[in-house]
Amino acid sequence: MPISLGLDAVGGPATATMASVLSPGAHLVIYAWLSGLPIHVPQGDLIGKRLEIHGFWMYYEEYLPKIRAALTEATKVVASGKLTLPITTTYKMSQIKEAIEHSQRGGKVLLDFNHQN
Amino acid sequence: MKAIHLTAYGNPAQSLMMVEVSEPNAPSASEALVRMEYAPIVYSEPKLPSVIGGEGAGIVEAIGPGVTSVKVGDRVTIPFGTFTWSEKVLAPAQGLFVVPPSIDARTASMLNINPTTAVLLLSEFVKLKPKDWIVLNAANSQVARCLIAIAKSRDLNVVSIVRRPELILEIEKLGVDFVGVESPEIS
Repeated sequence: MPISLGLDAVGGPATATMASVLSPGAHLVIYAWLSGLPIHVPQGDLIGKRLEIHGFWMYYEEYLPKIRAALTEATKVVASGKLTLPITTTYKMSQIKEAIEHSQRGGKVLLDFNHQN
Repeated sequence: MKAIHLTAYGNPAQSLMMVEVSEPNAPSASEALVRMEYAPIVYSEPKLPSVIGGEGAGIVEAIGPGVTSVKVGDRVTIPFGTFTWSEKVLAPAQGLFVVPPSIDARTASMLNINPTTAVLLLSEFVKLKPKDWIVLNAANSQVARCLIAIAKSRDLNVVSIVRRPELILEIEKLGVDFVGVESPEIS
């Protein structure tokens, strides 16, 4: 089973693990760095398998014209019920300090504009 | 109306404040006024590229002359470049994305970044065909959940690498086809 695409959100040694399972000519895309560490890529994988390594951010200029189509596809998957986006909690605008602190501790926090006061 | 403003640099828990600001003007040509419902707080810096106040959803309250892409009452997501942390926002109508009624307001507020990122990641680097394999990590994360669901909707096969074996069952429930525990022997 060739694996032609690796999507790394961790960095550090986890990137090396991913590089080791990728197939020759595969693309390795780095889109976050949850470990906080620089990526490790063994030269044997990079050179031997000619991996192509990319950094990704959705607001790079070349993606802007493609965002609407991507959002449309994603929305269909959500509407089908096959993708749920769980949240941890919501806060009112007046609780912005608590909301930020909660977000810093982890979890998906939403600001709720519907119910002020 | 109320809005969240950055009042100083530094820790956002200290420097972001709710302030009273004047209501936006009536929308001019090509603009729409949106009453915000929800906006996610993405504060995981520096671990994820993020923009504070960069996404959210609300209900169109008024449209400017000539606007046909949205109508009053539509639930829409707010485009990148429009600051969302405010009771009402004025946005370019072309950038608003109308959300189908089956999607609730909270979910709508989270559509623009993570699910869209996932589609782009699966589209922009390799032309994948059904049954092709991809590998990802951090399978519990919001983007990875989106990647897995969207990959499955395209009939792709997904390998997930986990650090701790006790996570295997949980990750399998997300729909991945193969879970590997991180070790030098995985390949």
